[in-house]
Amino acid sequence: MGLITFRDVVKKYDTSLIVNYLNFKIEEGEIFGLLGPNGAGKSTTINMLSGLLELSGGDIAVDGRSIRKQPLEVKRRIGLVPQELAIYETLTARENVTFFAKLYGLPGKLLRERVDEALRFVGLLDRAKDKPSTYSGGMKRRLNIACAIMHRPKLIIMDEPTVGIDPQSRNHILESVRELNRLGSTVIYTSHYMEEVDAICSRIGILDQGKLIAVGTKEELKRQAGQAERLVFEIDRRDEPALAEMEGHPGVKRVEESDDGRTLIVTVKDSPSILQDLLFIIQKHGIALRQLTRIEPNLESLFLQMTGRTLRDE
Amino acid sequence: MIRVWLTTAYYELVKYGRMKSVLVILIGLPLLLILLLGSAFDTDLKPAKVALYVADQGELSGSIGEFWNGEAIKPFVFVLKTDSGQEVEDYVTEGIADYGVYVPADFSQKVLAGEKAVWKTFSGRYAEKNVAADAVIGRYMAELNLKFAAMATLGTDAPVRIGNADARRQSLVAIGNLGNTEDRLFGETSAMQYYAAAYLIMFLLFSGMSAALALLGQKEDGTLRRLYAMPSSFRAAVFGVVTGAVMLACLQSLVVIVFTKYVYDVEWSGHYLAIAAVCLLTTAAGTGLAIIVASVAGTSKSTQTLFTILVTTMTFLSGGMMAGIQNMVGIASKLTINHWANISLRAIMSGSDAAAAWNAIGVLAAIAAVLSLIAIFRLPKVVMRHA
Ligand SMILES: Nc1ncnc2c1ncn2[C@@H]1O[C@H](COP(=O)(O)OP(=O)(O)O)[C@@H](O)[C@H]1O
Ligand SMILES: [Mg+2]
Repeated sequence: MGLITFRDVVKKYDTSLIVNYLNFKIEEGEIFGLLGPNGAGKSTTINMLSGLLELSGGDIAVDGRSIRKQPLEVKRRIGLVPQELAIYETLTARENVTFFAKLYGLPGKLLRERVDEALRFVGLLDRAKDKPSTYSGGMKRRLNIACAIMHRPKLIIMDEPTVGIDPQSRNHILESVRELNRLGSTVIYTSHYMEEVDAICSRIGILDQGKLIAVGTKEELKRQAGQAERLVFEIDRRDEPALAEMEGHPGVKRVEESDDGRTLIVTVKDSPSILQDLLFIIQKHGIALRQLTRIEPNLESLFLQMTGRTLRDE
Repeated sequence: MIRVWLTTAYYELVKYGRMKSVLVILIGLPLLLILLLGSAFDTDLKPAKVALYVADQGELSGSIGEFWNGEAIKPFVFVLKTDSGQEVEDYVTEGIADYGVYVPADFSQKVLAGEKAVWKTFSGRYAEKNVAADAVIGRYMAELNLKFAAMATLGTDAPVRIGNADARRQSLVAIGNLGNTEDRLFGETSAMQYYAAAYLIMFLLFSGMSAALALLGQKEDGTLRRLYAMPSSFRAAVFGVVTGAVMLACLQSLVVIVFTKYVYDVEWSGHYLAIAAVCLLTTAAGTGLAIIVASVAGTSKSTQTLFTILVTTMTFLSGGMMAGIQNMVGIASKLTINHWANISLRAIMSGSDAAAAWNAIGVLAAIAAVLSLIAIFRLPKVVMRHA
């Protein structure tokens, strides 16, 4: 049984189906990436999970507790980092974190420790006395995170925490997600940036128009996108028979050739022995191999392949 | 539950303390307005300083001196004697006097000869003091002219007697202030008490808006959603936000009451518990009304606009801006929150009729209860994004 179970989860606004029968599980200890373009329904899904939105159908269970029947029990296990900044501009960073910590019911000494811990964690301890109005966008985002982790929740949900910030803050945030996970929290991370999800997530769900179009580990997803794997051979000369033989191989989808014929880009289907076979052909025709590069398939191409659209610039 | 409520309320107060604009508006504005009001009352009470030089040594000089030294004009003018016409003018231009009067040497002679005779006057920088001094002099001239006109027509040789002290007192009073009418307007309280109470009530109603604006603002900036995602009672947190605003209003009443008591000697009477009850009920009614308005208006901006119009209208209709309006608009004034709160406060202040006070407080409590109840039902519309 997973830590989180989505069962036939539906969200409707009037007649439009925003979240369309989600069924999947998230295991304890994962960093689960929810990847999808803007408007895919990521926030809607997250908000239903954290009790901010009513479900139109189905149920979500966290740690065996139903969000419908035991919302407080579910909320107790969650730290939500909302997509929009939700911090008080007139309170200092420490007061912000302290306020939410008090609402979580942390008692005196522990409260101070945990507040310090959270601020240190996001790298704001030395600016704790300052108000967010004096912060950069990235620092505000980090404070937004600190306000959701001081109670050491079992599940941390981050809804696009890196939108619109500088690369340095982004890296800091990605690093802290990994660290939180190492410290024992399961993390759900939504993003429309393929690279981020690719970099930190152990399992990924791809959401499009409210539907989960693929879910699995990075490797599983990439295997699904396997057709897109490409091998780049740099060779010393052009050789027609070798080219023909490669194109004729059942594991090869397509061979592209550079103008001088010395670079071959071979798009292969998923087959365990294909690299061996191709190397054999090259050798057989007496061609010298200068360099071999393997271009891994990525989630972007998987998304493109499954929806015919790109993740961004919708 | 209680912990969440108190924590939220406490942090709301901290936030208000950090917002300079809020502090300025909520505490500075009442003081400013009362200050303005106070100075308006002051000019009525403080006599205008009139620089005077009487060059006339003629037959009328005796009665002129009598006039300027008379008791009747004391509340309105304070005479500064000078030694020349030039000095009168200097006093006024230098601001030593508010007004100047120069009685020419040939004044008696001209008057007795039936010619047109005038006092030379110098207006100062304060319009209201000029008006007061003009009125005093105008009165004297009018009587003088009347006498001589009569004398000339009748051809009598009667000795010149200017005015009759009683008559003049009465007419001067009529010019100088509103006298008896004023008593009727302000009831058993003084004008100062009346306006201090009315403005306190208006400010309390306005600060009822801060709860609604805080809720809308926190909905708009997403922090309310964060509170909703907490495993603690969301209701307690929302009531905490409201409580913070109510506490701010209490603080504000305290400031207004203490300030007016010590700076303007406004007599609030000793019944502070009853006054506190009126303030609290008024704030509750204002907060309830503001939340209802917010639930209809939706955004902070339109809530602010709508509610400001409402409170200003109610204050006006209840005679809070101009005493006496409430008697002209009749029933409309009774439909305002201010009316009942004002009556409660004034009855408490005058201390004469406990039954009337409790009666008015009862009506105010009923209004507050009804508005609060409706507000509680409308609250989800204000705090939930998709409700
Ligand atoms: N209250 C609402 N009423 C109707 N449609 C909504 C509402 N909220 C969100 N949507 C729609 O739901 C879709 C998913 O939104 P969202 O979950 O925010 O997407 P994402 O977080 O993936 O960018 C969008 O097309 C949005 O327009
Ligand atoms: Mg979103």
